[in-house]
Amino acid sequence: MGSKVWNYILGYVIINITGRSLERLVNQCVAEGIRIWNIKRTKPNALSAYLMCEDFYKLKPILKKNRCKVHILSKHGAPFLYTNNRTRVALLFGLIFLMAALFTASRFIWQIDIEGCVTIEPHEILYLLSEANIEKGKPKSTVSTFKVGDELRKRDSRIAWAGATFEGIRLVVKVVEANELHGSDDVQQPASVYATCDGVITKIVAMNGKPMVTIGQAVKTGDVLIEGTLINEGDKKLLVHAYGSVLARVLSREQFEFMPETDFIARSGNKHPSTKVNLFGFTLASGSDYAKSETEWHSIRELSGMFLPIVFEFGYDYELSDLTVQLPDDEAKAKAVEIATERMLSKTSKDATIVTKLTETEVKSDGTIVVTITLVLEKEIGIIKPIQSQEDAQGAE
Amino acid sequence: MRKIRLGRRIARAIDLPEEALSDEPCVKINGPDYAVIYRHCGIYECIPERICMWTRLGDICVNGSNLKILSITDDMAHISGLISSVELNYTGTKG
Repeated sequence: MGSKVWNYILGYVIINITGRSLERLVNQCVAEGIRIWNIKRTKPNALSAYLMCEDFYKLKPILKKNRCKVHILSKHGAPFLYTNNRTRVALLFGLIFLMAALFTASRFIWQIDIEGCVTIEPHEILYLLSEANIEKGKPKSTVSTFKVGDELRKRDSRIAWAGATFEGIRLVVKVVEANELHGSDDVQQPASVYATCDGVITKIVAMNGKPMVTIGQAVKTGDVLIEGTLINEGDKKLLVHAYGSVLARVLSREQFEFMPETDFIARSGNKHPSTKVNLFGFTLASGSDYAKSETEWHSIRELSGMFLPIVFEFGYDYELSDLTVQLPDDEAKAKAVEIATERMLSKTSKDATIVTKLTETEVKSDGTIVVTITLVLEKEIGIIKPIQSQEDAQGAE
Repeated sequence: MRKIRLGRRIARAIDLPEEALSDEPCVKINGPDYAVIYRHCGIYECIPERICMWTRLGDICVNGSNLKILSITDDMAHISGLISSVELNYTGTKG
């Protein structure tokens, strides 16, 4: 009868009516305008029903007329909640304090998220923000989001555009990096695009200048990819600042040797339980008892039903020690491949895409493990260099 | 003299549902567990197996199990439970 929320706000009771002419009583209640619902016969001479609080007092004359008795089974609603708790002043103050604390906490920056970083590291952006006096814990009112972009661009020329917005207690900073052309910065100076390494062209987009290679063509280091010297119909030479994007597949091969007595960092077998608590991006972890250790987290528990999102993580700290371990052949090979791959990838530029990777392993007679890693990369190979003189330009042709 | 039912004629003429302008009792059943009775004149039996109501034309009985009156006003009653049958005992006058 009516909406549940409204009934709860006004308050209702569940009653049990006993007597003989119960149907007549219900009809009279309806005729009097008493809101009664969920009527259910519980016994031959009893029924249960829900009744609004204010209508309960109107029931008395009707009960008397029908010689029925009423018994309240339960009371529900905001008025009863208030009546039961109005003497609990500490609870009320605690609630007010909590709301005030939450409101105050929401006025500060608790987390800064950086989006759009490709070559620039997020911690570099955070450092630039801290130089502009924008960091965690600062009041939101001290940060003008429309000025953040200008501050970042002023401090780092690698940033083409930056913007910031507040999402609750998070400051989200979006960054668009400038696609810097490698080589010459002076756009007025005549220049051509040259190859920095050998490769097979997969894509060429000439923004300015004349492309000199096609897709599928093999090029060597120093070859002209986009020409900055243009010849028009009247055999007149026109020098322009050529630029564009040239992608090629490049082969990279390297060999790594691992001596049989190579030291490895391995787990010594000792471990200690570790716990980490996370709240609003801040982490509090129990320190490790070991000089060198690695932590493995195996379970997460989130406290539900609380105002604050507290997350507990449980794991173990494993002690690491430098051991000269004579691993079995298979394990030694696998470890050597892992280390070689890591070293190879660290030498590869971040903007290169790995197309294929081949790994070859060989064990020499003295036990030395030789790992050869061959990578086929797709990357930008063009570099803009100024055309020094007409002879250089003719030589490039 | 025959009583002319203008309400029904007007409803038919302007394509309105007839129950909108008539004063006859109406029962709407939603599946096996919900029924609404319109234009009743009061309940006279209310037990978990049977709920009976007077109407202008007779009485309407809803049979089933675990029946209860979800809500009741002076002209509409909502009944819920496992409904097995609905009877209309037409007498022409209120029960």
